[in-house]
Amino acid sequence: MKPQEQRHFDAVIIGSGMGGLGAAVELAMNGAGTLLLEQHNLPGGYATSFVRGRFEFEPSLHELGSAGFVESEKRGLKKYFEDEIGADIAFARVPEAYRLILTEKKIDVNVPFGIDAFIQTVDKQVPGGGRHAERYLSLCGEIIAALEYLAEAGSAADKRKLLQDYGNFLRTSPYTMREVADSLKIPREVLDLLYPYFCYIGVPESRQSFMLFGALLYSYIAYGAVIPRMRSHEIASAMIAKFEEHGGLFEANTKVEKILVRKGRAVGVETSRGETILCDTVVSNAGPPLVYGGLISPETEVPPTALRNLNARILGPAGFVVYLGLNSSARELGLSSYSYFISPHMDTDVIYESMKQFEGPLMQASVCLNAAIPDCSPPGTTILSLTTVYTPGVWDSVTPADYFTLKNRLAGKMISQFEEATGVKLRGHIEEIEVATPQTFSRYTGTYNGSIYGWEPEPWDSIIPRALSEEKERYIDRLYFCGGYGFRTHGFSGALFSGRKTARDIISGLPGKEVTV
Amino acid sequence: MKISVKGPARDLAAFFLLGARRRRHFRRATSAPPAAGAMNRLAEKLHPGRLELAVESVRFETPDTRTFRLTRHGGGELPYFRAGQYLSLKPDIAGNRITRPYSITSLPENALDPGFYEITIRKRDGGFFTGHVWETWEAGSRIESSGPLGWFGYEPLRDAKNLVFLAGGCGITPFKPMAADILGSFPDVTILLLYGITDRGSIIFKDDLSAIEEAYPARFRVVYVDSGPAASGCDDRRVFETGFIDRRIIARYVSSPRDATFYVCGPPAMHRLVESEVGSFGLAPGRIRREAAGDTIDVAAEPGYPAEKHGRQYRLTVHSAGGICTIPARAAESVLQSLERAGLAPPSECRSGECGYCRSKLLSGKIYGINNHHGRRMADAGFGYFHPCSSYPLSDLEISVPVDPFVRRT
Ligand SMILES: Cc1cc2nc3c(=O)[nH]c(=O)nc-3n(C[C@H](O)[C@H](O)[C@H](O)COP(=O)(O)OP(=O)(O)OC[C@H]3O[C@@H](n4cnc5c(N)ncnc54)[C@H](O)[C@@H]3O)c2cc1C
Ligand SMILES: Cc1cc2nc3c(=O)[nH]c(=O)nc-3n(C[C@H](O)[C@H](O)[C@H](O)COP(=O)(O)OP(=O)(O)OC[C@H]3O[C@@H](n4cnc5c(N)ncnc54)[C@H](O)[C@@H]3O)c2cc1C
Ligand code: FES
Repeated sequence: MKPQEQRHFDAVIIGSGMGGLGAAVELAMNGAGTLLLEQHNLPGGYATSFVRGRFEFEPSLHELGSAGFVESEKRGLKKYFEDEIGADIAFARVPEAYRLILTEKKIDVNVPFGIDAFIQTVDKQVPGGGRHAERYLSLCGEIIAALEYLAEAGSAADKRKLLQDYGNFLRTSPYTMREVADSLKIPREVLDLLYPYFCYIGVPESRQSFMLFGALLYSYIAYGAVIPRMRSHEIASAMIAKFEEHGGLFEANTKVEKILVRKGRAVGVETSRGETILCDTVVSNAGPPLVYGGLISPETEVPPTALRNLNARILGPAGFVVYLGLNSSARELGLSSYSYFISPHMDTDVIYESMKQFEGPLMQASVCLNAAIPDCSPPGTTILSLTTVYTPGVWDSVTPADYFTLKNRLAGKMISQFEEATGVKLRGHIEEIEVATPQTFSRYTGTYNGSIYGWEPEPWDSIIPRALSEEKERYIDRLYFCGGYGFRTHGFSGALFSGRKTARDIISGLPGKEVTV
Repeated sequence: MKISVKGPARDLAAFFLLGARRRRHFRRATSAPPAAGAMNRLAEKLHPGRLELAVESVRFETPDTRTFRLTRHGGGELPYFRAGQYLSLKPDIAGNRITRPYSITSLPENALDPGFYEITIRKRDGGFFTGHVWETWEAGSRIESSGPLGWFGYEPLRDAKNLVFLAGGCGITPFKPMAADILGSFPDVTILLLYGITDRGSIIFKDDLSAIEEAYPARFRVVYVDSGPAASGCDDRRVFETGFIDRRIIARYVSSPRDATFYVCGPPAMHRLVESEVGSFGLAPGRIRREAAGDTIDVAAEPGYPAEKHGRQYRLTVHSAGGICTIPARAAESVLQSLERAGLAPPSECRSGECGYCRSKLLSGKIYGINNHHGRRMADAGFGYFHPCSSYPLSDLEISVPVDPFVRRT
């Protein structure tokens, strides 16, 4: 191949997770010369898949909430994929919210999607509890409406309208889940049924932003959820195809080792293959801990305020997942639900403390993929994945020699917990097993210390404060971030739309360019 | 319904002060740079992208088989691994950068202390890489390698407690460390090794296997199955069988095959035979574990391969690293081999279609995929991705190939 001279792009994007892909597609569609660099050999970051024997596993995604596939009005991801970028991705509906098994409390209940059905289920489980659930959900609905208004209005948001129409949103946003639940006087037995999605954020009710949790709960319950038929690798592949179709250049197996900064301005990157690439804008899907903890070159260009910003946050949980390919059908095994949320109880502060112990994590959120996609594995087989989370740091002392034994033992514990809670026998049916630990997530996505959800979103670091300070907190000129560390916080659609927004900010800042979508 | 948490005025003030609260948190924090992530470091230790190794010593196993002890160039510990894993060596032979997988034949603990791997290579007649090794490798030779890779090995949550290893020829390599490691770590596991050989005078690892048998007399047993010309039926039955490994021989040593997990590693012909033989026991699918087969030597023997294409020559138009070139390709060779022959240094690891590391995009043309592209992701079929290591051209092709992450840009 011909050696090439120095390359220059309008934008270089570091990393092709959902955030990087969201930014890449938007930039390319608007005509920006864009290079997307990915250290792994596949695009997607967490949005990926892996094959073992007869099974193709979904590594991360449990469900895409607020996707717009269930409502009458086309919105969210459905609108994005179908109308904005024209990507054809096949999705399957997630059949129900969750089966909640609280072993100590002797609770085992199937919780459906749909506001009314949800309230009825709560009322049946806790007589008289329905009206509490109704109040709580109705407040959560107001949160979503306010967020939608703010997203639509952008900088034109009107304070008077906010005060008039979204007062409850304003008055509850500064608080934690606990503060809001206390003020509403929701009985504990009802909270037990409302709180299980806490595990998708991994921050306890005493510190978790109510606003963020409320939005998440409402969007799942009211709008349901979907999952791509061919694992989330299908989403990543479809987005890369669109990116390339619009003239973007994707290069896998290429790690960015340096972000070149001159006098406070990002001017290019240096890759693991020894190439220096210049550009007008750098967009990083690698999180701030990686960027400010080693990528900025020279190091003296790291602003101390950026480090303060970083050190003020608590890094969210690291993942631990047991992937099982089972040699019997879901029906033969007795697996009838999609999501299994299993824990002794739903005291989220106690569960959070348990995430700090090796043997600890009390809660698992497990998925039987066949319940949504019956043919996701060959006839007569089943895919089941058992997920829990650890506080970063718990695994720090693990040595290579202990690593395999340890992960095996913990996987065994999670299998037993599932078997005991559901009465389903898994041992003896395991045809393939793979275990992902905090190390595994760092290995494949480079994520800092295995963290899978970015920073813990306390009220002062929830969507609104993040969004309002994005501009101010851009400490290095022409260096933008996108993905789970961004204003929308973690999750597939959050990461994706944060990337799209970053791209739009960049485009609207370019002279003579206007956003076309 | 109007909701208030701490009084409407206080609530609103709290909302509009969120930004100030945020800045206060920042002001109180230190500006120390973040420490290197412990999980990122562990990932680097367990799964380094590349290793620079050096041959420390060479041992002669049989007339055509040698064991090479490899240490880290410059010294130090090597990545720990699971017995049964392999290294993907990345030699550069006169400008041809190729890869070759070799099972690690030493024990996992030796990787940490004193810090070596062993690999055991059988020379192939006219072998491109093995010929090169025989000619050039000696103490001090340097070789680039991947970290330990592969999924062949014992998994206590998945496998039975009675293990049956079926080895053929140099397919014995992963079983030597597996036997010692499993027996040492899992006191409730028993292992039977049926080892297909063709010459009793030159059996790879005969002494090592005897030593393991002596250490675990009740739990490990080796039976050699001799299909060579000199084989006779009258030998000591406790050690030798005659013929090929088949259901009759297996049944003689395994009382209840359905309660065992079988592991197979050997030449393709042995895989085929053994699978139909073991298959007759009606085992659950996960109870037969197969090591990756590596390059397919004779694609014409594969089911569904259009025989008339076999002798053809095609042209590959290759997009890689931002450039384009056209290279020749033989129908009888995998697309990966053609790329390697042309000196394009494509990425690969398992060379068997299963790991996906060579994943490339087919822009136009037709290919034949071994085992119907068994390791390919579902979505990849729709978006036109394929695995060059297990795909053969059936026409001229235009493809896009990723770079190898460790080959510097020129
Ligand atoms: C077990 C698990 C379950 C989850 N369940 C759900 C769920 O049910 N629903 C949901 O919405 N979300 C879920 N998530 C969260 C979701 O997967 C993530 O929030 C989202 O995918 C993050 O996207 P991202 O763009 O921020 O980052 P990532 O996916 O981490 O992408 C970062 C990318 O950048 C690349 N990169 C990093 N550094 C460099 C470098 N120096 N050079 C080049 N490339 C680099 C990485 O390789 C990676 O591809 C789950 C996550 C996990 C792990
Ligand atoms: C998981 C795994 C583990 C293995 N473990 C072992 C082991 O422990 N011990 C062992 O001995 N073997 C092992 N093998 C097999 C080993 O990887 C090699 O296939 C074997 O040693 C033959 O190598 P060779 O290059 O000498 O043979 P060859 O037959 O020469 O190589 C294979 C192909 O290389 C191609 N080739 C020829 N010339 C060139 C050229 N100029 N440029 C590029 N390509 C060319 C040819 O098309 C040929 O088909 C293992 C295989 C696998 C998949
Ligand atoms: S090298 Fe593993 S699939 Fe091709």
